[in-house]
Amino acid sequence: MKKILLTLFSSLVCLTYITAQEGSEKKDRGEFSGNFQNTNQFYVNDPKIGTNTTQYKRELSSTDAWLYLNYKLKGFNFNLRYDVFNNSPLFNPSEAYTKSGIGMWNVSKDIDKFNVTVGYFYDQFGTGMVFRAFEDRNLGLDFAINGARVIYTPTENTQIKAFTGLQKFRFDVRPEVIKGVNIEHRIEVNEDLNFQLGASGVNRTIDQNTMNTIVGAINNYELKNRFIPRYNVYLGNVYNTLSYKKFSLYTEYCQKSEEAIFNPILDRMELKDGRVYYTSLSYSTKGLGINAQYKRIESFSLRTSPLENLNLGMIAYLPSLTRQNTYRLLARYNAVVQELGENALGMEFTIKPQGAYLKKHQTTININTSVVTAKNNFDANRINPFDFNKDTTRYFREHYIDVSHKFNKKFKAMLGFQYINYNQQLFEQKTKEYEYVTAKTYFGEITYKLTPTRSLRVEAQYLDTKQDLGSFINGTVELNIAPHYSFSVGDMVNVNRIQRNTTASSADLVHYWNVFGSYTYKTTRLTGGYIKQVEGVNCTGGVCRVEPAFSGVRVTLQTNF
Amino acid sequence: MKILNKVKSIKVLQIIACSILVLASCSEEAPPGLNFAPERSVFDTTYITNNIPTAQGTNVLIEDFTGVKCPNCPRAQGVAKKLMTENPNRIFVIAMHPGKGLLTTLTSPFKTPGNDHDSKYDFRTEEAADILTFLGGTSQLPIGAINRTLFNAEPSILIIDPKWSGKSLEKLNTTSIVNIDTFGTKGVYYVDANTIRINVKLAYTSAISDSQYVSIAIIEDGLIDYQENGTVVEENYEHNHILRRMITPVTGSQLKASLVPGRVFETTYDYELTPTETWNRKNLKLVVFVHNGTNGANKFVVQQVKEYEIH
Repeated sequence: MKKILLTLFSSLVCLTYITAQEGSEKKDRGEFSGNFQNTNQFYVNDPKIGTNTTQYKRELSSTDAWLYLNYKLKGFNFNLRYDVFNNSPLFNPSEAYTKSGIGMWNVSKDIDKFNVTVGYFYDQFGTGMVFRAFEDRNLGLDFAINGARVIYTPTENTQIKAFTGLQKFRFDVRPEVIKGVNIEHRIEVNEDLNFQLGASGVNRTIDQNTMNTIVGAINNYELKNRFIPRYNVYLGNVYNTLSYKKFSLYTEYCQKSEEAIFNPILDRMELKDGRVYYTSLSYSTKGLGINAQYKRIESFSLRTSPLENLNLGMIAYLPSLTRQNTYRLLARYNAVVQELGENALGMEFTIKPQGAYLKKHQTTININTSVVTAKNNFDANRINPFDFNKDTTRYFREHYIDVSHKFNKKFKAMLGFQYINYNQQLFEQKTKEYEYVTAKTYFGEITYKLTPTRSLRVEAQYLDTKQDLGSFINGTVELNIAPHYSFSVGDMVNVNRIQRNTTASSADLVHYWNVFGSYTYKTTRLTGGYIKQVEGVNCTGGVCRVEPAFSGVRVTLQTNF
Repeated sequence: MKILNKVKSIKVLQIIACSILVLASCSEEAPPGLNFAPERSVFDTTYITNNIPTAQGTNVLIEDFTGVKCPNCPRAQGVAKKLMTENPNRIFVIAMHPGKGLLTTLTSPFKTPGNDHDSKYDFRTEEAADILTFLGGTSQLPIGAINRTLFNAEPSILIIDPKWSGKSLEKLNTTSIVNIDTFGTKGVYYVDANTIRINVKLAYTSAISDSQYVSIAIIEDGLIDYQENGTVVEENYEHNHILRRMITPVTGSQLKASLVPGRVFETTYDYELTPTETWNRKNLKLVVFVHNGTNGANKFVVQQVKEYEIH
């Protein structure tokens, strides 16, 4: 890796030198840009909220940092990222991971209608359901591909991509080879009607060492469960966005050939092919936006090998159709996409009444409803809201509404309600003592402008449930002093508490309080806070992970240059 | 023009879709080592004893990958034979003739147009080829594995014969975490003319976190046949320790219980020789070895090995 870095920077220096020599003719010395992100955590043990990871017992602090540099010169594009992880719980919350080094580098060049990239790159085909190489630092995910990619753009309406490489794993790569090709083409029939067509093919090959392990495992299954695993898996998808006036219809079909996939319910691998159907219909007009989505997944797990699980080795990215909530208690229960099979339906309405009074006060109503069930149990009876609790195959359901209203220039408010059914055993791999969660959350927010540069924001939520850890109430008061400062205090209290894995008695009130401040100067933001965070599932898109409770000080720095 | 472009783009999409289907329909070879035969164990039990036995010294298994048309292989067999002679009942050899892949050039029997130099035997087995693939694969012979260990500074588990001696002695100076016993003369015997019964007792003297497997190989000695040796072809070369059959899967049979000191596994296997397995019953022997699984830092490592005559 050091050799690669050396080579990369030698090239940079040489190119800079050559450019400098030509400086009298052209003063193109390229352009440097980048960003830096740093998170420091100091752990304060609090058995009452169930802090129990190694950082509370031994390391007591952790640091994650990323420095990203980009240099552009004469059509060349150089990217390099240096990653630092000290006692980090990021990749695995029960581990203290320490290592630093070059996390990503690449060189790319535009040559006529081609763009060529070598090194690590991020990319995706369509929605990413057959291939997505992405990074999500909050979830400790980095699925960059180390290899080569060519993008050919023969016309402004057509693009063809092809790549081959290995998936990044921490500071190494996984041994399985991945390759793929994708074409997208736009057809504009007239001003009202156009099509955006796409198709992809992806192949992954398992190396012999990994296959040896798979064979060893299969040989220990009961005879009836043994099968011949495949070295190669092939995926293909076709997709299209049809836009007609105010309507937009997206459809995608993905197919995957037979391969060994791990079934955690059976605790063994199976030979299965898979498919995904996905469609989304949206309509937008003055004062009204509607979006409806449906997705069906059948055994569509694609990882670098069936020996990887959870968030490891993901090649295919299956997006979630359920609402991505931001408020602390509303985001407490999330539907992790079930790659072995699920049916999901989601509908969203955004209404901005056009009556004179409501329009003047920017009144907005958001309504969202979604349901996720097992793949073979999506019938009217089972999704009936009245018998959901009796349905043994239920996964997730959410009904949501909020109404916001701006009373005057200084004061605006929002009120809402969320109803959730959540299969905690399934999504968090909990034992049978964890019942299905039914949670009703009432929430609201007001913002009051004290002066032209100062505003006060108050938010509150009450989550009512008799399952999981019991009910919670959460409140935050935030003072914003533009353009530099922001301060907040908040507390989340576990009321009607159900005791699980903590030392607090059931009579104790458990507080998850936090104090937070931030300072922003141009493109730099420094934050610091004392935080107590409840154990739960943290999701971005359809990818989630179970995060342990946190108690301690968190200091972050983020800057762009 | 627009219609032409649409047709072209739809054609490209069709070509991609067809290519995917064609690729998906390509056949590929099944991975080595898969086992679809039913378990041959007719009895098995496991328990933990308080009388933890004294640990046996670690014996050595040399898996000698060899071939009848490999001119340097007799040299490697000589190295193995010398080690066995100098360390009686501590070092055991299985001569593996890989039965598929590139190496068949070196392992296939002699066959000439006039049948005047034809080999009598075909020593090749698929099991040998599968085990070779598992241990890393090679395009050269002779090569071998010493207790399937990846030694320091070695790039592969498979090492050349000049290194066998040093690496074997390194292993002999350690104690094993598991003892192998077979109940004396009643341990391995012919139940009838065609059925071999093997009673194996494995007793753990130390704990181990790696998953553990037991493998049993039938080998045959005293086979006189052609062998290329240097620049000549010897007509009456004595082939010993020839792998005939793995009674267990080539990946081994897993020992499914907590591996703590005092853990004992007692298993009885029956192997019925088929009509085509016309081997010399008197010259058959069994090699029983306990080893790690197919993954982890210490994958494949042989923990203990013993060889038994069939009574």
